Amino acid sequence: MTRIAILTPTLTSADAVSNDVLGMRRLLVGRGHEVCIFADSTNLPDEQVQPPVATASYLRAAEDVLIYHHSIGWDSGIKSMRAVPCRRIIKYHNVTPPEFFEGISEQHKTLCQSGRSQVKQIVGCHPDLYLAASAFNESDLIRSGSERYKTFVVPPFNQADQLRAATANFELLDGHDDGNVTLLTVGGVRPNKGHAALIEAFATYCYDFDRQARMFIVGAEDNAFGLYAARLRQLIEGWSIESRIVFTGEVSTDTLKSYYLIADALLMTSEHEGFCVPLVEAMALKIPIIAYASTAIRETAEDAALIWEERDPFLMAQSIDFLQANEEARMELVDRGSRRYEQNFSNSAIEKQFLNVTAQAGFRF
Amino acid sequence: MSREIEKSESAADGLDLAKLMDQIRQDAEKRKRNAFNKDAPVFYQQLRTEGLDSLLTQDHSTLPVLKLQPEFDRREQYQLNDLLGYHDEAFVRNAYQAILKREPDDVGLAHYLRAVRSGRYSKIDVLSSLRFSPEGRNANVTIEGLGKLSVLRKLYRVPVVGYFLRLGVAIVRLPVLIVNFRQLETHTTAQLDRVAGHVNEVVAHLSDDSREQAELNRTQFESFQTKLVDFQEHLIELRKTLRFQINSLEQNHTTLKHSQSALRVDLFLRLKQTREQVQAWERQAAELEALKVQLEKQIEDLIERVQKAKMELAQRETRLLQRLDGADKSSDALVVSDQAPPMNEKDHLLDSFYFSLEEALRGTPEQIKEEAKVYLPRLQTAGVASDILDVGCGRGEWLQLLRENGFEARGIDQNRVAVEYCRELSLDVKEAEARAYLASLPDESVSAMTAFHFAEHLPLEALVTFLDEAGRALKPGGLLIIETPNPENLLVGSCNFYLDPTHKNPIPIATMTLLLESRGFCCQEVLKLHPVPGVQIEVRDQLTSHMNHYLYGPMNYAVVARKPGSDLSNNKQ
Repeated sequence: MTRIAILTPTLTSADAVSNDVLGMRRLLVGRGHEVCIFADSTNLPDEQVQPPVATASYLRAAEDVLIYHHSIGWDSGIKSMRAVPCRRIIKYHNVTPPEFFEGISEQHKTLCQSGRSQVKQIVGCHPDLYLAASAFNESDLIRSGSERYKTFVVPPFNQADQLRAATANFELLDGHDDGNVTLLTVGGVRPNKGHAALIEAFATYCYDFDRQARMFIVGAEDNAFGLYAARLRQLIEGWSIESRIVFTGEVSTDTLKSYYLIADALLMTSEHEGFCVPLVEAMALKIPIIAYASTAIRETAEDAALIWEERDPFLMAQSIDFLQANEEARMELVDRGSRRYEQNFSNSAIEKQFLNVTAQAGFRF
Repeated sequence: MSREIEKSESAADGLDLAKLMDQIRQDAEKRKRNAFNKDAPVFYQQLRTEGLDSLLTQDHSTLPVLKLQPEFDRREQYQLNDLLGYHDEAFVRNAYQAILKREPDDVGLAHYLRAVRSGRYSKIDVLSSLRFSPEGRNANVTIEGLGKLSVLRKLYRVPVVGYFLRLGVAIVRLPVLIVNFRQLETHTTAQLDRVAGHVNEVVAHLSDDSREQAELNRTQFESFQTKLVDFQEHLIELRKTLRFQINSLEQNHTTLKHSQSALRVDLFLRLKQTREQVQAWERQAAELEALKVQLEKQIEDLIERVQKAKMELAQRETRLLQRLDGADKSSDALVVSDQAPPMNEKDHLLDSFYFSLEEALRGTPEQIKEEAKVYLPRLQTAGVASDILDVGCGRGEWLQLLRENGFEARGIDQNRVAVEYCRELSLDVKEAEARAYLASLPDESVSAMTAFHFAEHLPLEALVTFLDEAGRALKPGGLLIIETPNPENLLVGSCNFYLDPTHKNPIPIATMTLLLESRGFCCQEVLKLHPVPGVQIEVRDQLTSHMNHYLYGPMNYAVVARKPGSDLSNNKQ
């Protein structure tokens, strides 16, 4: 039995990093290890976390293990990581470039700036192993100085399995069973998610193909990005499509499943993704994906989606129309997605990758 | 180490993604070029090509602009006529621009306009006023011809002389003024012509726009008409396809309906079979349950009978041994009167000491009564109300408790001090040696027998005899309750047991139950009693749990045993 501490800034609902942390703990506890999560805060009612400062008293033996999840600037986390005498693993989820928050949230801009500079500090601590959520993140780490032989790709644990097992909200499904084309995007309303391009593409589809189409933007709205959300709403009003777009805010697992089932396609126009979990969820639930290629998006979806290098709303609109009209192509695409999910991104597949990589780096999990 | 995420087997799908995306790209381009320009709403077209801002700031500069005064050209040096060619507000603004090199302020503009429009100031006055103001002197702009006229205008303002001077100059300049007036008339007519020409030009321009718009509308209409025809054709095609699909669906529906009805029949039959099977199983389960109850009862009866036989055998064995030993204790001789069997006087020398020892070691009478309450419900459950014998009754706490709770009981003890003590409490207690006393009792005459802290005083053979006599004297179903120190508690087993020098050997629980069962009793219950009060280690693991048990666990235990046979309560009925 090994004693393991997992460090993450916060443990919250509907958050990709938190889901990865919980999946890792599930796996390690299931294999008989003692695991404790250290974070500044949590909003999950069934979870209890320890303050990061307690890590040093928890991990005292050289054979203990610390797993540090890096996604944003976190001084106390870095300090705690430095203080322990045991083996260390870094899980790198990437840090959003601070430029996205320019003029929107100074606080986030600062946090992301320090998150970026802390990558070099982390590398300076000489951890025993780096796990990157994607090849995009891997190259980011290597550029920052991580040793190539210690750096590997392991996708993040996710809630797609739970999503598949969840019972959908039938009231929501029945309420939208009117045959209108429904498009979906999933992810927090944050400035790096490229919503302006999404709205432009959707407006193009509305005006050029189907005025009855509708779109759900599913994801939490953070007060810190109020200015960004207000600009998006102005843009939507400018296009006169406010009756066709719904911002749902954060939703439960059951409701999220319903939105996926209602959707004819998932649109992803994000400008910065370290992995992009919604693509995995869409593949698991057999929803076709249309996306703009950026950062890790292409490598996560690969050939199981229509991915465009050019950010051209006409291509997006035409793609939506194409999938509506070509049932066969649509079915083949979602089958590819489903297979890709089973082979690479289901929690059991990720467990195998995690155990394989850590075993070869000398960890006995 | 494998770093690559496995790729989907796209080749096996037969879906050529690159080709498909090329097709989408071409369609999108086509739509951008054609459909978009003709079909999309004007607002949308402009929004797509020029953005939202352009809509809000539309430029109408294509209409001709009318200008009635020449453009002002700013320089460092002017002829007077360069500035006098402007009129009204344009004149004042240009005068400011030329002399002070700036736009007029609101107050200055209003002041000079008022002065000019009222005739109080001529243009020369305005120019002089600006040029020779402190700001004008600083700017130092040259206006040729202004100096002389300015001096003349000042002389005009001298009283009397000024008047005549103005009159003289006016008479001299009269021909020039007439010429100027004619020029002005011609100029005004020319300006009016220009205004009329401009209006005509604007009207003509607007007509052109209307024509272009009509042309655009016509083109759009034609395009729309063409598309309508296409659409109709498409609809016809669609109708055909739909008809075909509906037929196919209807066929599928019929097939499905047949399959569904066959499935329903099959399901019904299977359900019926399953239900019958379940009922059969339920019946079998009920029978098995009844059989189990019956078997359990039979096993209990068998055990009971075995124990009864064992008890009889044990008693016969004891008697046989006694006879073989040549003792003159025939079964008749064992029947004695109510008198205690004779005892040696020296046996009573230490009675007083033992009595005080008991007081010191056993605890107060109140404590002992409290602890003994645990046995009352067991007597009640077994249907015992009278014929209770307490062997080794000591200070009689248990007999008192029984009396207080309505039980009829008597006791024996061979300690005279204790017997006297009990008699003072009006308890029915006799001085007697236990085995001899029991041997004197008739068969099956006692409902319950209790022996608290008695067995550990006897050697093994004596204990066996005691049990055999107790078994004989008890009624079938009667209770025998034996309480004794528990050597599982290490302090009791190693030390406290020996505080009483009359104790022989500690008897572990397993030995006691085996002994009772070997003599034919049925052991009903083992009660572990009196843990060391107030001292317990906090249980953290198996070790601390063991420590608690062996150091601070129960100091005494009791075995509740029953003589085989029907319950006493049944006997009563």
